[in-house]
Amino acid sequence: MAVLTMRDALNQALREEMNRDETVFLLGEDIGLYDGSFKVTRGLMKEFGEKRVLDTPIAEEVIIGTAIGAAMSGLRPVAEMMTVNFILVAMDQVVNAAAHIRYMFGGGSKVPLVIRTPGGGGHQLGAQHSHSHENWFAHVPGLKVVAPGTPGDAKGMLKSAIRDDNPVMFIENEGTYAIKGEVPDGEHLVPLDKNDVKRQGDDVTICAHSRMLIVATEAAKELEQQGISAEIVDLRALRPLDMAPVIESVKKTGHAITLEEGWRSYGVGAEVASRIYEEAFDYLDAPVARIGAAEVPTPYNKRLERIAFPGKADVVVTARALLGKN
Amino acid sequence: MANVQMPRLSDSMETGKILRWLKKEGEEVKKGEPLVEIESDKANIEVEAYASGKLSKIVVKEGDSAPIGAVIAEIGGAAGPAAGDKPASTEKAAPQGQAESAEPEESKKGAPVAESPQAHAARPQQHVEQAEKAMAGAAQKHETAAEGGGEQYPQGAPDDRTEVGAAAQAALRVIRQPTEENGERVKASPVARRLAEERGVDLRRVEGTGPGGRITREDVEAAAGKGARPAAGARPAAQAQAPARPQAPARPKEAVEVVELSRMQATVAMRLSQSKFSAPHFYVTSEIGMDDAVHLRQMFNEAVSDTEKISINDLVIKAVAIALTKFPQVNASWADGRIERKRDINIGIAVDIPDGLIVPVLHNADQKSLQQIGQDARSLIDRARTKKAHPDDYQGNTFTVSNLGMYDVDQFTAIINPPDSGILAIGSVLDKPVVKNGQVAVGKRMRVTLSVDHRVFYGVTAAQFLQEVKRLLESPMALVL
Repeated sequence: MAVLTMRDALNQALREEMNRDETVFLLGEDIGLYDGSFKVTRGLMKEFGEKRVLDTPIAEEVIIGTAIGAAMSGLRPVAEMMTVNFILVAMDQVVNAAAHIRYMFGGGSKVPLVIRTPGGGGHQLGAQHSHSHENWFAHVPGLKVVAPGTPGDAKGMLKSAIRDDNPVMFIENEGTYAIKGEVPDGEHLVPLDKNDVKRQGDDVTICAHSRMLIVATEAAKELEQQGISAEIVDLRALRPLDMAPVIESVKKTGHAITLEEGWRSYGVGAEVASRIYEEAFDYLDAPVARIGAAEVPTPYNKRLERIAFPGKADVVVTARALLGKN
Repeated sequence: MANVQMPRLSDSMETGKILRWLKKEGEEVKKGEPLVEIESDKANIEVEAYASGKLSKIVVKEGDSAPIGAVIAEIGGAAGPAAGDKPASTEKAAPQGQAESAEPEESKKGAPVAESPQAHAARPQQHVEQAEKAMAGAAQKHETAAEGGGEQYPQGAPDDRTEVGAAAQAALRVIRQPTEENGERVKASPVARRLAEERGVDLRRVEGTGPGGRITREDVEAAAGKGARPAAGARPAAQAQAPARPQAPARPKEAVEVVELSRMQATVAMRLSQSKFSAPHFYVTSEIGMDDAVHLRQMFNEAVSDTEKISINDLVIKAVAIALTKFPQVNASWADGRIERKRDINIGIAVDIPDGLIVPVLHNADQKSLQQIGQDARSLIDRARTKKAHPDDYQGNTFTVSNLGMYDVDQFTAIINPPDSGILAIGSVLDKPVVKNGQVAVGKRMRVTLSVDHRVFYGVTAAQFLQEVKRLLESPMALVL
């Protein structure tokens, strides 16, 4: 077991899968010669050559369309979108093609495609580079959507995603590439449809994924000092959404907070809250609280950007209010 | 189409359980016909149909419970049961299988709703306004904070700030301001409601300590008491100390047998605890000469048929009712810092029943003849014991009598039955030596003890009221006039 950064864990997963299966190849903007905008694909072009690591034009629709065709022809492409904000021009390929093809051809053709792309903000990159759109994809039948928040899960889920016969949206986060964590060596697979309790607690359940897992953990430590015991459920499997650990936890705590980096309205928290109401209504001691980004395009201004995203204080204050401790 | 709703069958009832539907779906029902048998927290009651027509649908099945006001059946309208009316939630909640990607769920395309170009154009402007609004307060706060030490913008994610952003404000709006509800509805969390139901706690008597006054799980647990469960750790230790005696007769291993309360027992426990721990009780005892009353009863019962005979208790009820007409301050309730004097005189009669205690109410006792009181009390007690009470049977008590005279009891004190402020505890009629005209003679004596809520009336009133009861029972002709 090595301690790696998130970007190195992802790099390791790509390398291992490319070594294991020669149909696996990568394509995207600046992923080869430049080693990738976030250096996730560092060294891979050198190692595997230009046929298996393709630098593409700045044309997202072409990247996804090419990948879909390759996938239908028997290859296992891993396409990188520089950020999730840029995939919007390729939504037709993702939704109308990738997600629907297997169904519309009656199972006659499959699309074993992985689209890796980071969401998230906090780096003063402006509204067009700073959003989190995982809920857009989690809305669509035919796609699998995962968003790991630890290096170990990132490696294990990326390997599972590459081996999956369906299109998988693999959502990363710019704010987590540098975090470190234990990563099992070699064959380490994490299922794409299992969520995970990352911290045990009794008083309140915090459901978070990706970078918000870090925020939730910091908040949980603060809450612990204030005598409130928070349980954290990692929503790394967003579609299909594994609610079992959430429901089990809420039945224990009676209080739930959903925490996401994207906007609240129509967000991940809205879906999770609804499912909690459907499956654990009689166990709730308070309404489910949703925390998300302020309902504005992410501001460029440093201070405004800072308060637009949820942070530790938001979670602590919300948890205390939820438990009637204010 | 008429909806049949779960009726309120007692003051403390929250939910009722359907014991038996007396009509089947599709059957014709006439207004006034018995329709359904319902178990409330106090009794099993037959409820009549309030409308005529076909019983088109039974919503709440036998064995299931529903809160007051919930629709339990539908009468009239379309013939036959409505088809496919299952709640959708359970179906929708089914976990999504692995086949999801291979076989996408059926797409449901609604008619496309065109958004006007104006709406599109307005959006950015709205966003800006919204942004300004959301940020203004927090940004200002941050500005002042930053002036002090020069802010440190983190390299990675902006997590280490301490201000509360728009995100928390939005989440808090939901938590802090529960939707407005009318005054009638009790604000309680779902888990609090479920626990209250399980433990027989009346939510209207629980103070909510949660946000917006919501009753939380903790509040219900506190109201119900944690229950005297044996400490888990203590049990094995106790066993270890006691050497095993194989020859001893088979006895369960647990040192304590845990008895779960019936709903009625839970209600009794809760209401009487509330009474005893909130109403400051004091007690006044008086001994009443019952020679004439016993004689009167004897003569009365010789003159009437078996079904019209009266008891000592009926005489006491009549005497108390007459006395209450003269002491309106006794026929009263404590009501949140005020006193409510009741115009009706309704006497509760404590009745023991297997595994419980119940207090049917004899309404307008002051206006009824002794004979009528005898008959009414008898049928009330019968209905209570057979759990076939009418909804009115348990409502509106203003004063209560509790009689243990048949068990050879000298005297006892009783706990006030809310919302009353007095209860009279009746002992046995005993032969005792008494002094009459300077001579010791044998007299029939009965001791009664009045429990009083000291917030409502005081010692002298209590004594005068008892004097009046005593006078009426010692000169009992007043009771038959």
